[in-house]
Amino acid sequence: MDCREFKRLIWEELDGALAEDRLAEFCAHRRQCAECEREYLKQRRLKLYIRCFPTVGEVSDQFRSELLTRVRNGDLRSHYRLNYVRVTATLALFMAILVGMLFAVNSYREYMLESSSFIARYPEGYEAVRSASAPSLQHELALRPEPPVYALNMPELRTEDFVLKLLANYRNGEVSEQLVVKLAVEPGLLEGVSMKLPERSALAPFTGQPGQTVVLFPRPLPTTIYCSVERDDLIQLRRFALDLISTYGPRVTRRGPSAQLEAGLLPYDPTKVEPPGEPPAVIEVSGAGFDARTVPPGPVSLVMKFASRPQEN
Amino acid sequence: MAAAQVGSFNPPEVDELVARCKQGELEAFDRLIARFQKYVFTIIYQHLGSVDEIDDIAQEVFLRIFKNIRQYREESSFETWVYQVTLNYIRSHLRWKSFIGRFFIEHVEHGQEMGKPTDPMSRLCVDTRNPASTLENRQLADEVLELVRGLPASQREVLIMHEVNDLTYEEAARILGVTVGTVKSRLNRARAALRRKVKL
Repeated sequence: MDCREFKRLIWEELDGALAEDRLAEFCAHRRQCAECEREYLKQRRLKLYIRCFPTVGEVSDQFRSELLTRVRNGDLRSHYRLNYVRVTATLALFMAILVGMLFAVNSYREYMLESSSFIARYPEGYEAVRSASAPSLQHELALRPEPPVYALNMPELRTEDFVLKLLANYRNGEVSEQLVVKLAVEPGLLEGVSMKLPERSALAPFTGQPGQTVVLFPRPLPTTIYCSVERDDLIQLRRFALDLISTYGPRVTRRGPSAQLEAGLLPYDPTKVEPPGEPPAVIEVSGAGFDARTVPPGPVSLVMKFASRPQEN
Repeated sequence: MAAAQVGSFNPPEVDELVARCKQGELEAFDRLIARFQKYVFTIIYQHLGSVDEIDDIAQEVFLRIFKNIRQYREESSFETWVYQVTLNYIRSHLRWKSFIGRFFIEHVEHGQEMGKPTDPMSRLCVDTRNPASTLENRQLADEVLELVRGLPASQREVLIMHEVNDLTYEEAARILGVTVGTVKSRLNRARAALRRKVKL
């Protein structure tokens, strides 16, 4: 028997559970190894000290008589009872927090749904065609004749989808009324457009029914829109355009030669180096070349180009 | 006390008292209390390490015994069953004494309701079987006591059952509802922890 095994068997021996043959080996090792003998004595001493646990000496008869009185009186209820007031208050508090969280989550969910809750429906036979809004004479006069002209090229996004997103963001308060007026109302994009609001009930947030607003377009919207906007509107439009890209993906805007504008505007040429100090003739609103500091004060011309046919999902 | 009766489970008089208690005889219950009250008080004191409310706790334990005595199936000694009931109550009590437990559980003083003063200390005589006579040994015994009480509950329970109350591994396993192997494992861990901490 080695020292390691001896130490493993000490408690077994102290419990008196060691088999006779093992006990003989154990005792022999004790005699041979002074260190193991010391360890054995220490552990035996520890066992003795553990056994020195206090015990209760006497219990008076009063305890028994009190207990029997309780039993005879049928008072078997515990000394320790639930505090129902606190339990109820705690449950109510938890319920309030839970309901509050549910409402908060649903409000957030509704907010998130707002931006995608508009869906478009079109009359039968509807087909978007390449067209351009015909600005009125008054409108035409308002356009700045000189460059730069600001452009928003989204060749894979329908005009209707642009309008829907604009309205959704307006409803969320992320787009100002003025921008909606400039981009959608003044060019006549909302003429004859009707909206069917969803039926709302108190339980709607919990039933999972999406609250969708249906927008009916009576006719195809033009794919090219000219308008005149203020500097602040342009900056806001840039934010909105970036939001559009993040919503619909990077393919919404195609950079490069395909983003050329028509209607007599100067085409976008990425290879062309603009002379220093002169702004480019056409500046893409959602592009990297847009610098809010270089936007001239007063109204500026804006051209928006969208997909010429319905987008395939 | 427990180990001596494991083979035959219970002495005949205990069996008789239990049978009469199951019939609802208060006199038999009274005699059972007289027989086991010191045992129950000791278990409570050893496991809780305090005499605060020990009187109330012991009363609750005996009330549980009275209410549930029909559930005693004589598959073990009555003492083992009493130990089990007491230990279960001690565990519940420890939960109630926790932070959350204290908030939800209130303690109703029956003694005061009955117009009698309650002073468990005056009715208890706590002594020890400490063979140590010198001050040094006494201090060491106290140190070991504190260390045992500082052990995790699972290890402490097994250690007290086996080393102090002389319960067998099987009895401890039955009371705790675990296997004998688990009992041995916990016991070994408890002993090893004590051995590491006590400077002998």
